[in-house]
Amino acid sequence: MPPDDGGDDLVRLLDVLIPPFGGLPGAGGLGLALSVASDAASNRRFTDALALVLDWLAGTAFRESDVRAVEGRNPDAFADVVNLAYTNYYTDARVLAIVERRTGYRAGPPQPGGYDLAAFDPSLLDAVLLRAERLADQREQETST
Amino acid sequence: MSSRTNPPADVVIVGAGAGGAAAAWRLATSGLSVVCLEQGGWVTPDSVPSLRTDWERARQRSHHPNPNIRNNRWDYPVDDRESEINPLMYSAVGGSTIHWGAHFPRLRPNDFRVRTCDGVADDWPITYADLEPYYDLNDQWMGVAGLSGDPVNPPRSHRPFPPLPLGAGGLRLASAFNRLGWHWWPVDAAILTSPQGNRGACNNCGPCDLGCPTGARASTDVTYWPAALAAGVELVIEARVRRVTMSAPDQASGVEYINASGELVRQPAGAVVLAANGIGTPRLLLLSANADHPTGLANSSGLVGRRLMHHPTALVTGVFEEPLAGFMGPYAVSILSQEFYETDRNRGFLRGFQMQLIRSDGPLGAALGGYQRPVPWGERHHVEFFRQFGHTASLTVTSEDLPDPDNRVTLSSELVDNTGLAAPHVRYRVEPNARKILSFGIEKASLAMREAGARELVVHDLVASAGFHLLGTARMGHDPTTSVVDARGRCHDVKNLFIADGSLFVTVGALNPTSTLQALALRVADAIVSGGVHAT
Repeated sequence: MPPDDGGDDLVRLLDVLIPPFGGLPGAGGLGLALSVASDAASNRRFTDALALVLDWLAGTAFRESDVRAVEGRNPDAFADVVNLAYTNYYTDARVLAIVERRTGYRAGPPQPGGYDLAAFDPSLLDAVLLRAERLADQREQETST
Repeated sequence: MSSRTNPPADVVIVGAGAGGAAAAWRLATSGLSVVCLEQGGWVTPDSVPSLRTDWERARQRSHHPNPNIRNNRWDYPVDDRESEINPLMYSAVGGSTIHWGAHFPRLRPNDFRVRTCDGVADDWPITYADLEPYYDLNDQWMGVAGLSGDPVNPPRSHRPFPPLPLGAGGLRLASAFNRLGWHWWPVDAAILTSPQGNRGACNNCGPCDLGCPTGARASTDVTYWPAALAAGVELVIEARVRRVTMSAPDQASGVEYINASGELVRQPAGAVVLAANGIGTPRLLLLSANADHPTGLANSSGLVGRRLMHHPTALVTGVFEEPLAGFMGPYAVSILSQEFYETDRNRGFLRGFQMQLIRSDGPLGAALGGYQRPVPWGERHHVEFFRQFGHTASLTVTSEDLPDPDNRVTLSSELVDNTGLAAPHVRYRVEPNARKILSFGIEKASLAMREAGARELVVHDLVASAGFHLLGTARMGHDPTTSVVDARGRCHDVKNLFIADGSLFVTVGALNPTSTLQALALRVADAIVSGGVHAT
């Protein structure tokens, strides 16, 4: 069981999983350890996975190669830890603001704003209908001969 | 535990989802008294996560489609450790239509004649023509956006709502299909593209699977249920049905359930309709075993729970140079191709598959991969994230799933729900023919993606988290030794016990099942009405 604040090891792990980028600290430096630990505590499977991964990493230098070795020992548990890291990182308002600036994606809830509902252009289907007509003609000719 | 007995009803229905809602409306408007028992509650429009900034977190936790992860109070766990595909479902008024993508195709005529056409599996005891009027009726209730005139399908009723926008990815793939000379068509979607009654128009927001606060995306809590309640149906929520009760070996007397207060309630009825879908219904039949039916109710054929079918699905994702903004628009509905749907024996397998365009996802969904590939962690994480996010489109390869009696639902010896009832245990392996279909389909979908200009392909051989379709576990048929129910959904062994959900499917084609499931439920309701039932 990790400590309530996630502990220094969790901060280091998060920074390996999602390193600093574009003016933002990594997931650890961003201060997400507490929310990751809290998220993990809400589900036994996540609790166990995080405890296992941190236990195996204890005493290492937390290099990427150290973390990859732990991933290889139990990929399923490790995937749960990655899920915890990504879930808390990509729902953080500071991260979403960067994603919005770089991509045009509109951070915030999808509703009630939504997006424009463009009209469908039926001429796109001309080729499909033409081909169907040709196939029908072909079948008719084969039947008549 | 305290107990009581309710006044009798003509019909009691178990489950208020896609099939139960349709059946309830049809029965009540035909003059019968109907009680419907639903283990979940109402989902209010203002509780939909897509109204909140944490909507993507909700999808991973409290609103995950897998009940084992979501673990809500009224979910039951599913023992799926022996299943290659994880079953997904939702417990609420509206059932799994609360969380579906609303892709609304019909099966094709040959899907009802697989034995005749291909010499495998079985024919249904009914035809497409038998079901067609019910498809039409159901379309009116659910509301369908689409376009009539698809040349590879039978003519169908006018679609009153125009198709959804294809999106940039859909346009690219449609053009690619045209250049390849392959069939494609805008999907039929149970999503309104203009307002109707109490339902608003789609605003292209994207995550239909989290619920739809405008009511544009159909779910039976906003389609059938208002009319069913107005017709007098008594809907009881948070009611966990634990068994069907019997008055004679071939006569059900009603059901027993645990209500929200923990009280045992008996609900007598002239007929019982199970609409808990392909896992919940066989679970309940097995839980209802008694001295006359020691292997489970209505199970003299031994087929209750067997022949579980899911539609194994592979996914081919194209990563494109230019942005496609796939986070806009209903996730699962744009275009589909049925170019490789029917059997061509030169391909080395029987039957075929559909390809369905999947748009893309929000930042968290893109990072985790969802049905696609996760963005790798570590030094390259951010580079890969921004290379992929908003730049992908995917094609499903949704396969025919031939019935295998060893793919089955039984009762778990280890897991129970929160009332102590045995959870369902699911054993499921992808059958060899479907493996060949997926392999061939991946080649074709990859070809289409390259033709569309994808610079990189990511292939997912089998999407384990795609167990949306729970079908076939109480199949229809004429012969009581090889089927559970007759052609009208009535159990061979119990003359007033009916099934109105995906369990009925004899085969499943390669298309999403909800419109067929609901058409069947309406037809079963008519059979009950014409058979004449009354409160006991």
